[in-house]
Amino acid sequence: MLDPLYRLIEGWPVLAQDIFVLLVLLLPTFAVGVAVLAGYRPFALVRAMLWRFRWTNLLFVLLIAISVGIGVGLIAQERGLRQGTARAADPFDLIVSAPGSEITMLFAAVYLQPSDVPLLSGAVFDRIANTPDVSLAAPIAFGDSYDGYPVVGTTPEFLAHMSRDLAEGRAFLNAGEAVAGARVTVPLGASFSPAHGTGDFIEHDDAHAGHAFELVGRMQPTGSPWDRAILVPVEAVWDVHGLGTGHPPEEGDRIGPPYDPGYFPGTPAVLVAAEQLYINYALRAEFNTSETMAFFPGAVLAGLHGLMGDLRQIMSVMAILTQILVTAGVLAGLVILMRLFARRLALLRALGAPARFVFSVVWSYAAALILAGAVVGVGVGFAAAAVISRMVTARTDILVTATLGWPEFHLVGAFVSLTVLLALLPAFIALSRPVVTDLRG
Amino acid sequence: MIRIPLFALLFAVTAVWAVAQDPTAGHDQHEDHDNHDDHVAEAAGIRAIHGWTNATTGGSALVFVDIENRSDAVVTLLGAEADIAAGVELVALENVGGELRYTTIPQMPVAPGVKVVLAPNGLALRLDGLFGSHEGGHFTVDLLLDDATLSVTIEIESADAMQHSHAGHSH
Repeated sequence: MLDPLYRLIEGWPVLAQDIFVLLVLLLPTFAVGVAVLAGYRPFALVRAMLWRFRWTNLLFVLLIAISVGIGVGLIAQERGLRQGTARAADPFDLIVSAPGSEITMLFAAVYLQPSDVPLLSGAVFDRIANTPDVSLAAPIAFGDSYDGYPVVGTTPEFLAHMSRDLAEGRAFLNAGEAVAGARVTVPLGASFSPAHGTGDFIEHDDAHAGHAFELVGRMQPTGSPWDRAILVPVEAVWDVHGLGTGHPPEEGDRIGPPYDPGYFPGTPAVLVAAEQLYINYALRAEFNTSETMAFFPGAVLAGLHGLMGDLRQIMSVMAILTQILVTAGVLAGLVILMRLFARRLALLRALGAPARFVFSVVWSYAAALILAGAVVGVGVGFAAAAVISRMVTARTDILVTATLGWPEFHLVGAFVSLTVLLALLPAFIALSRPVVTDLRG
Repeated sequence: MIRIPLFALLFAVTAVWAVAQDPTAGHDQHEDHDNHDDHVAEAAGIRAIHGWTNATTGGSALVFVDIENRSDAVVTLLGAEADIAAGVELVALENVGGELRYTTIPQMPVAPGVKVVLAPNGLALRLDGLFGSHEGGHFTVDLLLDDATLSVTIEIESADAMQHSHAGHSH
């Protein structure tokens, strides 16, 4: 709805654009306020009226605040969720896997929601790893777990890519060591055996009982489900499943690339990275073949966010309509409340107060409730979004943070302007009442 | 009463004139509509197909096209030019700390036998400073390659289109 306005100021700095739009949205409020209050100072009278029916007024303010809070919270939460999911995918430049669903692989490799997917062979991995300009090619082998934490096989290079400096301890140096994510509660030095499978469908809890890992390090927080993962050398994952180590026997028990294609059991996904963005795109084009699929998690997320975008617009409009309806209800209540002030207002007019003064008193009273409700509503919305964000973070392991942004302020600005215009109605109605009748009570 | 013969004469003249026209003339437009050659452009082993963009009333637009390298050497897309815009940049979607945004890239190499797809939420040519209406029809963009320039017809699709209207058709 604000697109035409933004097009007019396209070349301005972003902050200037946002401030300008807010001022334009609040312009009707200022204009009406100046027009109604010009020459008068009804504030003392309004203050007395607000205090006279303070509990009723408080109820009106809370109703407006809750409706504003719904809209503010909705927009802030949606943005927090969108940014949180994108932030979680930030370390994953390019994912290569067997052809299939990009979304399925996104959830498996980035958000650790594994699915049953075909494996890339040693020959394919070798081609990927030896492609010029590839600075990182790390297998990501998921499928096992320990105490609810996914156990993922990968390389020391992947570990360094996810957490350049560890929060504590060191990186794994052999197939018997592991590094935990920031939110894994297993202490350093502890020993554990992984279970086959993940989630509620772990089978054969002692399937890998003979294989133990020692936790030697812990990553820095990533704000993603990887904070609850345990990383082990991929060689260990293959060995635990009786698939070899990816290296010929004469190389002993070393870990890390290069791998021998003839001993490489396979991997569901490979994280690929290059030094420059355009090279990553060139690699994506090169690895999109009949036997491999390459995608950018960010691009897939952008597509998903685009689908949600229309829904967001619809929900924003619904939130605005809800706010207006609530305010209209409040204003209807004010019209009724004005009957309680009718005698006082009639007395004012009988004593010679201009009709416009009485008009300004009633309008200012309604506008004060609206402004108070809007301000409190911003706080309510932010608090609600913060609480929901914490719940979503706990539930999904994706760090979601709610912040107040310009879209929320624009929403509140538009709401205030619309409703202070609506607030003219009770003022007109108050003026239309017969003075003599009201004086008689 | 005289009017009737005059109308009849006018009708007869019109009918004769219509029949005298080239019977295939009315098909020219239809033929153009069926002519898909403007969807395909080739030069120096590079084939560009299905160029398109979204209709917009704003000052910039993203242009998308499929680029296939049918040669046996790497060909690099260095940028583009368009008469309808003040400037054209090659851009790519980048995830920077959770913010998904288009970033300018210097070039886009296309390996032999590989097809690079410029599509929404990925690679694109960004036209800045658009001149005139950008709400329908088509225009031309010149792709700047290492050793050649390739003129591509860009169809203006609807504002919310996510692909060329002929996507999936082979040429």
